[in-house]
Amino acid sequence: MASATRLHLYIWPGEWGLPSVDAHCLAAALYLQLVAPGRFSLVESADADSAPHGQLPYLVNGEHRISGFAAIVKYLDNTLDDQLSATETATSLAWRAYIDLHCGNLLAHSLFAVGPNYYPLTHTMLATHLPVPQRYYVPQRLRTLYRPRLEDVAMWDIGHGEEEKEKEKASREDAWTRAKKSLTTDEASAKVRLAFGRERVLEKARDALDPLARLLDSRDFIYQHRPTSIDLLLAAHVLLLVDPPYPDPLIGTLITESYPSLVAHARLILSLAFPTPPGPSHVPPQILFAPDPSLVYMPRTLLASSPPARFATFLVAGLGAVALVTSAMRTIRASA
Amino acid sequence: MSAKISTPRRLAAFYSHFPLKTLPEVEGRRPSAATPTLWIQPAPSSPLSADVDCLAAQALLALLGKHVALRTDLTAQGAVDGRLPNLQLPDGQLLPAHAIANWAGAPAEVDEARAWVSLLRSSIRPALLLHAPRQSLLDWSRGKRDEWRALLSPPPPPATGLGSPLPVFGTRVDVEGVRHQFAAALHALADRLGRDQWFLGASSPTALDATVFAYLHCAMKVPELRASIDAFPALVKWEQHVRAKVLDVKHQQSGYDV
Repeated sequence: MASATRLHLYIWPGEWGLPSVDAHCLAAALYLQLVAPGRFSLVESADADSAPHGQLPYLVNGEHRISGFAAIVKYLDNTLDDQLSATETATSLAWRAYIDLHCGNLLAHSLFAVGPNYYPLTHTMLATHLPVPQRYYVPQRLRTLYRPRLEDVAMWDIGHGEEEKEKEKASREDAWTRAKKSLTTDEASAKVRLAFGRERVLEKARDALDPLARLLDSRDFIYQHRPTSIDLLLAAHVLLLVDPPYPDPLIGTLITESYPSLVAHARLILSLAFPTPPGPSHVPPQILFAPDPSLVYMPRTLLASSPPARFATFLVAGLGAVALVTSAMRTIRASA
Repeated sequence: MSAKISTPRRLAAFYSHFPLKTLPEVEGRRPSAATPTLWIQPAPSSPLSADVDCLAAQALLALLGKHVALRTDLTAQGAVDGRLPNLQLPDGQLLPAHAIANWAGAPAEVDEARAWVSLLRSSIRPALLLHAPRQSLLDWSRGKRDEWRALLSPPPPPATGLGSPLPVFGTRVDVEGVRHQFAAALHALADRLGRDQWFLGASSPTALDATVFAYLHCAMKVPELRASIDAFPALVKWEQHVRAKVLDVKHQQSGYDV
């Protein structure tokens, strides 16, 4: 890795006091802040299509573009993990996969599956950072991406259903109408289903978090006496489960009340990377903003996408242009 | 008085070309009521299943010395939760995949074992999916796309792009990234196994050993992945050792086998 050139880390934008709203982006930002302070810039971008494989984060170093947290860690010579033994390195990889899978499911459930969280919080946050017209369909597309993995573990539909729409209607109904509705069988069965669904999610959350709490035990860091990549990945997931103002903070509340060691660990990692107030030796990263991927820049976005997508786009555009010209010529001949 | 309607002669002559025959009753072998039966997906010309989860259950039962019959004529649609393997008990119970280890009396899974299972699922299964046989276009556009999104973290974006105005189609998978993750997982497995007979230094086989064996065995059947695994002779030797133990257990074939 060339150390002279400045690194640019492209990540999803930050919110809720965190550098990024995505766990891998946040972990990558923490990693660079610990291994290369003052030598990189954070570039807030909502244009995932410009990334090498359509996913953020990605790191730019001159002509090199490296995508994904694991690849970025490897590209930076595994600086934080270089003092681990072979067994610790192997086990760390396994635990990172565990955190990615189980904590990732909990985070995806909180952000995307729970309707009362998704519409007022996640959707609004994403739409704020996306230009027109992407803000009208990209959040829902992101939500759809997570649906298969959550359905696989029965964490997608836990009974919220149309609850968010019912809440809108409630504001226009009087108390008598609401009381009558609460006595109906459908309403009662929906409440029971939701209660069982929430309990099932809590059970899965405890099942996922108990091993991590045992792994951390009462130590500051998981391995040795310094943070490694697994600490950063765990901290990123915990911070995003605890800090956002979820309207339904089911899992965040569980972590705060039942797993204080995980919360303390996450806060410690965040304070090491971004201390408040900043110490005399702390060098905050320069924060830049990626170009607005609006309609004006759509050709660039298209050129960065996969070849089949480019072909399909140009084919549709070409056929549209031909149809437009043909109809214009018919109109001219008819009027002549 | 009931009027009998006789078949017209020409029609009867036409039907005479297609006589109705009654075949004798086939006496099939009935499964032994005292033997638990493991429902698995078959493999062509191999007693070991071609599916990772089925093979893991088959290997676990064999390594723990549990003698079971095998049934390979069922599809996942007929199984509990729509997933194979299932274990049919003599009392009529049908156990889903996640309950088989408990029934077999496998040792309780330690925390680190769960981490390794996560690594196998996130690093080796995507490589198997990458080299899975091609399906029909309809299956491919729906099933495989959802399978990639369920396996990879974060889930891959659509091939048409996340922000594209085009309707969503396909999946944009980082193929090189999948291959790198596969190689890294093999390296980690080899380092962790070391010179131990069973993973995590256990004195006897556990569910983790059965799972690792299943993934390695299925990966070694893919030529592109076999080349990567051959770079770790310890893993190859370990897989051969476990395979010999699994095949050594003679499975009583059930009467339903095709």
